[in-house]
Amino acid sequence: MTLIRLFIAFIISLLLISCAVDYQQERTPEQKSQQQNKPAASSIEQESREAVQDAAESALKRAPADDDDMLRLD
Amino acid sequence: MANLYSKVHRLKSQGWTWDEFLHQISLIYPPGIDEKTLYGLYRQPHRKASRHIRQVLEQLHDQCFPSPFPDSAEALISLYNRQVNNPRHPDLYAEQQALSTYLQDARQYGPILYRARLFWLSGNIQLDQLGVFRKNGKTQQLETAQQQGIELYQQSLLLLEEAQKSTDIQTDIDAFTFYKLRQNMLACYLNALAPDARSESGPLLEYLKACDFISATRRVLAAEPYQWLLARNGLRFSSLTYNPADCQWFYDALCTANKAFTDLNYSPENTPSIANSIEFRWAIDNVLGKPDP
Repeated sequence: MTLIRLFIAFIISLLLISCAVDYQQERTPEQKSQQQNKPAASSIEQESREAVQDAAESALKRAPADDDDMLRLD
Repeated sequence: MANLYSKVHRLKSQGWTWDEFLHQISLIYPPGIDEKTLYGLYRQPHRKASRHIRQVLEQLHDQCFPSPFPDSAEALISLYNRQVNNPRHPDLYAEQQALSTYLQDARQYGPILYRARLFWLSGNIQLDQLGVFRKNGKTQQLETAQQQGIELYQQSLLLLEEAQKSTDIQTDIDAFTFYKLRQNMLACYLNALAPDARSESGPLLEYLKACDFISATRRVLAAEPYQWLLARNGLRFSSLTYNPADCQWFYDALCTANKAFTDLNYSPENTPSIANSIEFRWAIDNVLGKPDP
């Protein structure tokens, strides 16, 4: 019984991997063509992604501010 | 600390169109930045920029509004700020101690504005330590850091006043530079206190009155109405001193700086919301929370 369950799980895993590979292959040409159409925007997009990444990182790192201290000015 | 929202507004208020603004950015950074990112930073005080975009905008700001201090002193401040703003710094306290030791000697020599800025940086180090000492119950170190911070800023102020009077110094020291220094001294009084003790501190309230903080803040806001951080501090001290008219004035100024502040739960960059800060409690209960007559 356990062997049958393992076999079924194996088949399902293979199907999922196969679907994921197909999906990836379908998306890649689209992305390439989009990049070719907008070469000048690539650096801007990179900046935007960087901004989103930085924002997400700092939100995760910062503990909730409990005290409201005055920020210094330079 | 850099407030990018104010810097972007200060740059835009020179009369630049958005196209001109983007062009000026592209002169520093040829690929340019996304105009939506720039609009976002202009419109939203909570908006965070990537390190690179922040660097580009700060460089442009410094070009258009040069500091009165020598580049070498500014570089040292930038270096220190990068250490403080690094949340993964392994031992910030050791760095602060080492830099303080260096500055103790370095600030005795050199041109007057250089020395003034090094005294300022020394004061920053003490001010930055106040919150840490307070939260860890290190009372003796807290008192020493507070006293030293105030004295160091005071020394910087004296040198700046001397430089202002001197006919040899070509650089004009603007009123906002003096305001920032006095604000930092006020922060030394405030940040050493636990939040629930801030409305009852004699020395804090005495210095608040002596430095004429409320009037000075009003003057800065008249010139630069987008300075939300200053309006927020004005509201904070108006609340701590139970002044309803000033509370209303600074709340209006805060909403003028950005309408997002009409929501008391709004939390901009590095700052808790007004609703979540005990120092604004009196203002909320007695002025802001009341319906318009």
